[in-house]
Amino acid sequence: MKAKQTNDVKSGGNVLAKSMIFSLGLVLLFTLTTNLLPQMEGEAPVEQEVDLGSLTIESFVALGESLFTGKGTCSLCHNDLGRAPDILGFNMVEIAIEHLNDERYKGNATDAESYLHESLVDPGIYVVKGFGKKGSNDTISPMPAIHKPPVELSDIEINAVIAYLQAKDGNDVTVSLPAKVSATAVPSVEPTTPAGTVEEIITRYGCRACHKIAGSGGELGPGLEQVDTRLSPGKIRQSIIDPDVEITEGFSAGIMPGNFAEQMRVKELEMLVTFLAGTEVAGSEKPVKTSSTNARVTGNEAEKAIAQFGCQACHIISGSGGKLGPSLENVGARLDVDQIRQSIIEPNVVITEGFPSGVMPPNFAEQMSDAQLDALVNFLAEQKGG
Amino acid sequence: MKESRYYSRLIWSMLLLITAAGFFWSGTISITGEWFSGAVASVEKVSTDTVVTEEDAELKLVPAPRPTRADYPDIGVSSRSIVWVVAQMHLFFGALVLAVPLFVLVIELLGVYTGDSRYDDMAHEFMKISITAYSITALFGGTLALALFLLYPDLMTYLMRVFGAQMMVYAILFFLESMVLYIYYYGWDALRYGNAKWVHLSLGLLLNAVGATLMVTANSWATFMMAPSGVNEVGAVIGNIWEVMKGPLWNPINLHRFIANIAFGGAVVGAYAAYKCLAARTAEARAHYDWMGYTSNFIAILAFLPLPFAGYWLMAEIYAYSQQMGITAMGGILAWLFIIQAVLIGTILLAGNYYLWSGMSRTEGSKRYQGFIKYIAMVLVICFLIWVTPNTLILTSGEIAALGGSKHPLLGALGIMPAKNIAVNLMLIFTFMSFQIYRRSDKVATVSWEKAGNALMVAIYVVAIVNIIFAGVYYGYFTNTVYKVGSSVMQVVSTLTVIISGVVLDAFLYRGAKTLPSHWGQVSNRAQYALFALPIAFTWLMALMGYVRSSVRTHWHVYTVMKDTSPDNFIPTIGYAGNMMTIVTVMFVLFVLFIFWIANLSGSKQLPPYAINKVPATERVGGAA
Repeated sequence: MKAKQTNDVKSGGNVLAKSMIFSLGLVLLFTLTTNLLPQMEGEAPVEQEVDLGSLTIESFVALGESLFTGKGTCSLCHNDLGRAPDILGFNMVEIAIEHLNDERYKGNATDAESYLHESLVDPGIYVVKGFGKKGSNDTISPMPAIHKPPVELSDIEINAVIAYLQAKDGNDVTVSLPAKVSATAVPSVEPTTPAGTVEEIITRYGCRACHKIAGSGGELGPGLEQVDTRLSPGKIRQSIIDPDVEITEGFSAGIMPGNFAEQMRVKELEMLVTFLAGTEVAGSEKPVKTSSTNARVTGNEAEKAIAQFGCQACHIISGSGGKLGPSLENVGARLDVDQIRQSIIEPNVVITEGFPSGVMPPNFAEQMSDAQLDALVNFLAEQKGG
Repeated sequence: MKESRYYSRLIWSMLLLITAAGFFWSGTISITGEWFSGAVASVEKVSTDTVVTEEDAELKLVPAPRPTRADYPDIGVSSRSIVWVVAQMHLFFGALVLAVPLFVLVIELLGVYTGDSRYDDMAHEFMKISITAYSITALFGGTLALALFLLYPDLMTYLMRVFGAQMMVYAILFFLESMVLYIYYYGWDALRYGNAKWVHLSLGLLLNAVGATLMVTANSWATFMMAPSGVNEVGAVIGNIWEVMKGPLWNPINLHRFIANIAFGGAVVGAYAAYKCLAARTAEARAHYDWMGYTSNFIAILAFLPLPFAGYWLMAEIYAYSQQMGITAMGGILAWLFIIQAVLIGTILLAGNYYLWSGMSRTEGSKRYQGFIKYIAMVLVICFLIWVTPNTLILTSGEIAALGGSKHPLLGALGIMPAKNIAVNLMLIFTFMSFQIYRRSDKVATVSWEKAGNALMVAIYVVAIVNIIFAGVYYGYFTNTVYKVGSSVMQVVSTLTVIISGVVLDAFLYRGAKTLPSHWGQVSNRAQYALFALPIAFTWLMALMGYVRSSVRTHWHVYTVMKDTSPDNFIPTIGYAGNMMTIVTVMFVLFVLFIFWIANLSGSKQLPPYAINKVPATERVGGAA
């Protein structure tokens, strides 16, 4: 032992070199291990332009499948490893009907399509037994709302996923194909600068298309003239951000677009909430009743009219808007000038197939000036797609 | 004299208690000072105030920026790579300088209680390493801040807005840390005995308290980016600074980093001791550094043993916060990194065990236990192989056909977490067994109940091992996924029971034991190389797990509120990440060598020319080790 110890003591001269070689060798061994393993990159979701003009149900379903495994990250949990229900292992239309009939179901869906939509945007409404958050007794879902961060699927993408879920087991696809817009550019009515007054906000987001405010507006949604007497500021905010959580008696869920939170600036949202709650925002103008007589039209009249009357709340125009009404992207190819004019003045006379009547407010003729109506009709008549 | 010493101890104990209480119960304290509330406001306040100006609304509720790719400066080199390297270097040295004073304080205290001046000298020598490392930490910290503001201006603007004055507090604490550190180090000899020693120890406590506060403050930035709190859906600040800091992952990260830093610091100073031991030119120096290396390894392994449990808590909280984030880490694209983690932790455990086995040659009493070593080694290797078994294989269609599925019929069952949980818990238990027999090897128990005590220890081992295997097999393979995770709590408790009961039992069993002679320095050189393996593996492991922690945010700077739209917003391949980790590890090793060199240099003294011929060559410049 002594001889060995002496040798050890004598070997100190090359310590630095030996320890460096040893350390480097070990580091390289770890590096080699990483380079021997499968090499995959995790790309951030890429905004893809989809040619909806040539979109078929088959390609829409294929888009849904790619979203299921890609941007939607559904397959991360919904697989056979037991973290979440194995969607690929079930007929989701049958499962949807089964869940709708479950006494635990408290949502508003009436059929498989609306159930699937609801479970994507509000997964907590019905949590499959055994898959709730730990300690929540299956009342809280660990799944994120798919239209919000971090996933952020657009409405069209959500429909594509639903189409895939319906089609994968041979069921009929009930979701309708989207009109010709960019699949990822759906609701982006985002002006460059925030609105400066409450009136601007109301006009920009077309609140009067459905709600009566300061003496004018539609009746599709509840009147907001004395909303502060029945809702707290928090509830008002919630009903703008997530309108289907609580529905005023006598009105239906699913009508008001759920994407205002994405479109509005925080400042705009807070100004609007403050106004509706009955407290005035300093520096903002009070909304005034609009009428056909005092509306002066200058510049690009059609665009201003679209913004003022909130057409995009329900219709897709120039690449963005809601889906409550038919897309107006190529309305010029379907309807002539007179038919377009009639659809605005008397919207319930002729209804586009697949859309219910009685939804569009019939009082636009009273609100618009003749110049505005003409500009809007002419603009829409020029929308011929292609 | 006695009385004043009593009061000093009392004051010191109270300081210790207050610091510990403050650290562990920080969750119940809330900061409500107006000083912090200037930059924040609640949404409710804005909506219910009768008069709120537009300027106020805009100032107080500004959403997170949404930069486009063009908003990121292009300097021709990957910005992420630059920040990756600089941040990792800062974290390495930060961990070192926060950990070393912690165990230095404990060693110093041990020196006071045992009266053994070796502890005091060793603690002082450890601080010598830390003092240079501190300067390097600050240099990399400054470089990191510069790189972030230059390369990610929108992100930094946002983080400054969210954290506001808290960042100033961090800067002030940094100055305080510097002052206390220098007084603590340079005042070592001036405050060495009597009451002055207690003043010195109090300074050490203050140094650690400030260091821990710095760490948890900086941790809040990282955890905010992973799981933001105190902000609304679009990233506008709606809570006070405490609500921003106290996200769901903050305390798990605090605990994990706190423990990991100690293990890391122990391993690095262990390498220093190993280097000095190998380079020693006298038997006395070799014995001193052998002892120092042993103590460092003891610190590193002791801190390392509970680390997987802190990691488990962190991962559980990540799953609770976002199942998607958890699965991205452990079942998604980052899952393979945990195979690398297994390789690294396996290396650490094998090296740590090997060092203990080799160290048993220091005492003749170890012969009683050497028969166990081969069995412990066998269990460690088998468990290591199970741990590195991947769950998913990349196969060709021909290979899938040949296997009859995408998983191997036998190995497939070993690739899942329950099998790995069994393996890792058994590795920890058998590492503790190595540690226990090493500690026993130079002692002979003299208590009357020795046999009964040993029988109890064996029983505890057997019950724990059976429980770990049963829980893993039953819950892992015969119940659904939810219980697989739940079973690991039973396993963790079993492992901790062995460790705690082993320490407690041995403390009583070997009270008044006969001590056999130990010969420090009488250990093979190979054992010292095991001490090099530990910091290398620890460093690489820190780089790896830091990368995993950061990457679970995927394409978000701040998860769900601020997207990363830079050209580097993708998760790179494992090979690329591995190369980056190697670069930072090698850089760290080079800087550490520089620190060792500086530490040596400070102990060297050039002899005057008239005396140079009167002393042996070995005692000239740098001659004495």
